[in-house]
Amino acid sequence: MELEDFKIKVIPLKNKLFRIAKRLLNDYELAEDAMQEIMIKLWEKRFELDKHPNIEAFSVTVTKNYCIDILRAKKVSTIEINEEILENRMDNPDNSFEKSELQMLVSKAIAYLPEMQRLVLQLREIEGYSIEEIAFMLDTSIGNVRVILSRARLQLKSILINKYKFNYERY
Amino acid sequence: MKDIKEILDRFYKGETTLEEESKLRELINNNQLRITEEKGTLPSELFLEKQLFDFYESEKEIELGDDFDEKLFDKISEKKVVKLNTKVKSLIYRVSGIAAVLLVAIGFYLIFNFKENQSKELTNEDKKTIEYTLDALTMMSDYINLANEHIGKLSIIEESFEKIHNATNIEEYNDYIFNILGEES
Repeated sequence: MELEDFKIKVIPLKNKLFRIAKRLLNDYELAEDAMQEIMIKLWEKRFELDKHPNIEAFSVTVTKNYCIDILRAKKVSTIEINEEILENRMDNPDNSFEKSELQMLVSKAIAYLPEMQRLVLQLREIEGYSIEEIAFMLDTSIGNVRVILSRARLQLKSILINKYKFNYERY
Repeated sequence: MKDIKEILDRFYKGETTLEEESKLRELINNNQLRITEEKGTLPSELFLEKQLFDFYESEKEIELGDDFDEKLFDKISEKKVVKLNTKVKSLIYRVSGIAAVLLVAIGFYLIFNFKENQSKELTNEDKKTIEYTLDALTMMSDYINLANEHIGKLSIIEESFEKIHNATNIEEYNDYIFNILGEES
């Protein structure tokens, strides 16, 4: 695969992969840097890519593996203890438009989930992949994906209600 | 509205399909679920889900900055140059290694084929042999000529080829071989 081909087939995936990286790393700028490295990795693996039936799935897997390695190296599997730092790091620092208070809560609650749950939520709720596709990308069974998804959704609700006192009456 | 309860139930078990979830989002967005008679009221149980779905919608739009592509292609070109340099260098080392071996071999051949008249001049036969060898090596070095700008060593080797080409006696010849061998180290 030459550079022109790469630009057509792989570069368009950059935003999707970036969102996945950001969800795993809980850090906007770290995810930006990671994306550069991930794209270079994909470029270096372009001969493998040529042979792979599903370039998108392959790219997601590479992204996931890279980010998990970073998380292991940093020895931080969930998030910063300091919530203020978390809030600042999670989103685009240049972004002038602010999230509503509620949206910030959801954002932080998701950050508290274990990494596989965050990942599956991202792939399902935001990127819209099917259970089968997710199972393929994560190299696991369909049943396992359903379990992780179920736990993620329940946990998220629980965190919002219990930790953040998401109270219907208030809103 | 039993339907909705059932869908939600399966939703939290991870059993809903993408279509069902899409429908759920639509219903929640359009406030079509009402328990009370009051218009526009979302049943409070679903308010949390609405926040989640709104959040997911807004997250879909997150993108990298405009400078991402440029930075990336710069890095890739850099890597290409580094790779080319190391490839060419190793090729040159290998070729000059082969060249040195061949030339030394010819040197030995010439020494062992001394005619009785002790003239240390290179005969025409000898010169032909050397010429053929140089031709073969020149062909190889043509491939490397691309990197001439980057790597000065190549021109030194080519200069030595020139001198060997012009050598008239064995001593000169051996001198130039040692030149190349010297450059090796």
